[in-house]
Amino acid sequence: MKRHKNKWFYDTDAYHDVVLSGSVCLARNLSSYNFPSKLSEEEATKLVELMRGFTSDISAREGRDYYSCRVDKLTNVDKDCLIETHTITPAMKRKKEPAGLIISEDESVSILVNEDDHIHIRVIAPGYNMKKAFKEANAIDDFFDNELSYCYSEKYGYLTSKTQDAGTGLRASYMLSLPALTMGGKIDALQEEISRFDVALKGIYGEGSKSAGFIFQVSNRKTLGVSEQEILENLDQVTSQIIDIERKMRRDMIKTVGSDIEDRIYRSYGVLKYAKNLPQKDAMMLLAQLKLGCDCDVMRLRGGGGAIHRLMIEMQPGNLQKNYKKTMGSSQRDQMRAKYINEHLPEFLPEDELPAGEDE
Amino acid sequence: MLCDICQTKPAKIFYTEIVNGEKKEQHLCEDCASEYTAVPLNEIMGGAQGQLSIGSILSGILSKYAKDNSEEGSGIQKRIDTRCPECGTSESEFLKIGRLGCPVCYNAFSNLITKNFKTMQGGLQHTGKEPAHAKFIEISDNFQSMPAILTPAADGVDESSLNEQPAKETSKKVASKTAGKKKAEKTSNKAALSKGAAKEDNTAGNELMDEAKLADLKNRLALALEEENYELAAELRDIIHSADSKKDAEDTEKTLKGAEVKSAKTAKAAKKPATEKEAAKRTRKKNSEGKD
Repeated sequence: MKRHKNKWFYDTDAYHDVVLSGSVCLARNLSSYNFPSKLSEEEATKLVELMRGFTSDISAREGRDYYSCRVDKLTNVDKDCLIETHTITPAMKRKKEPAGLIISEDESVSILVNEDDHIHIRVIAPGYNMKKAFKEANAIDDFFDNELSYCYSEKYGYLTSKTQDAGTGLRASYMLSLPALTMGGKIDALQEEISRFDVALKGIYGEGSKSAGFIFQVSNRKTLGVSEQEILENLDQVTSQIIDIERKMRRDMIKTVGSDIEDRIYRSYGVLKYAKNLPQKDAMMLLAQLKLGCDCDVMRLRGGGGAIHRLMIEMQPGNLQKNYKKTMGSSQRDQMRAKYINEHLPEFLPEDELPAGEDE
Repeated sequence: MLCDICQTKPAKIFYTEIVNGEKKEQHLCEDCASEYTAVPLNEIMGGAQGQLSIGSILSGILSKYAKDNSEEGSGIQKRIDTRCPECGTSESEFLKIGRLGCPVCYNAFSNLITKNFKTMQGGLQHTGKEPAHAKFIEISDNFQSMPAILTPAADGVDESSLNEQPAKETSKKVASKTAGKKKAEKTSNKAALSKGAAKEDNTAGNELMDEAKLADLKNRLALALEEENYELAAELRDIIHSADSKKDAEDTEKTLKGAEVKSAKTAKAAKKPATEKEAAKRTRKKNSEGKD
């Protein structure tokens, strides 16, 4: 699979100190096929090829390049890369049936074919900008609506293979960086509180609901009986509350235990700069502390927190192996990860230079 | 010990391969192992089985609904596994994997799905975007209107009888009358159905039809129980009993026919005091049977 220089997570202009990215996913099914779980291999192949045929139309419509591939024929490393940038789900990696992917050159827009549903239109936007992502996804949805025949019921809206998605078929989510709330031990309380507003919070990159790099995902829980607008507004409202709480806790933390935190952040920098062996979990935690340092102005690095976020994605197994163009065992990977981070860790900004969004 | 392949680094992984009963053992270092064996360790450890997915929780909840349903139906529904007429997904399959097979499944499993929506979703009516060119699929409110797709799983009824034409037609006919009707109307609907069924009996007399008829009767019995229409249920049960025991006898069909018309009458007519008393007795009897 081709890889391109500019990806959505390189965009440091849209950088936000709490919200890493916002994404929407629209689930749609065509009326002429059974849902994926009851689709024969032959029909699935037909569906995938039919959808891949739209690649050039979409490129022409948007004036930028789109690429398509068969996900089931990708290597594990390629699949890992896509999982790490949240393009495909880990479940899709295990899937043996034909599945397709149409993806924009910066990987911000992806259309998954024959996953849980026939079509998943997914758009991810860096920073705190869900509206932009939804607008794009909606436009692609309209395009397919014109070309194809969705199955829809006036009662249950867009019919999906999982009942949890029926109705709007919309799953909207924000990726949040919540170091102060995590360190303050407030995640469980927050989880309970926001579930009342039909929003779910879960940890990313960790085992179960734990998060390795203080990164969490908030998403809407309901899809039926609520309109797209209501879903997005509700999620935005809850998210803006979380942002306020997180920022306040960061300020309090710096005020009360500032010198401890400063020491931890600078230590992290030292380890990341010179360690020769970095397991993913450790690297994620240390990078997350650097990001906190940048966000709280404790440390001034070139590219700021955005550059750190990019490293967080690039040091993960799939992207790392892709970068060095070879498959590696886990201990070899830890060494290469250390090498990669040593080399790519952003440098300190000189005292007189203003921190800006420039990168490399 | 050094790695069998590169002979330079220490071997850390002991790799055994058995192909056609032939065993091959290798001592490898990590680098060679990652190159020569395609064993993604993290997938084996935290793979499909190791994860508690949302799906598994959902299916747990849904199967609880199904169980509750069957308890209300005093054991009779336990033997019935609903199946979607379009894609063949069975209720147990849906409960297991948490995924529907096609749009028609929304009708076939409407009981479970409505309950699920009530607890998990924001409402029962879509209020969002409407597509411009979609195929509109009609979803009826209650599954009662599609008896043809109920199959008594334990009764060994031939699967082919599932897709039999007359059954399908009836389901469509009734489906068009759909949701929101009052109980009384529903009952008369069913009476009409029984009448229709009785008429069909006159024409088609082969054994296969008998089996399908029996299945249909059982379904109607389950539905009657669900609606707490015990007079009808008692009648149906008697018919099924007699049909079951005298299956081979020639007069089965006659009894069936006669009784069915009777049942239709009972359902149609206003509650007669005599039948009511009788039904109450039967219900009590049935309940005690259910406890056993």
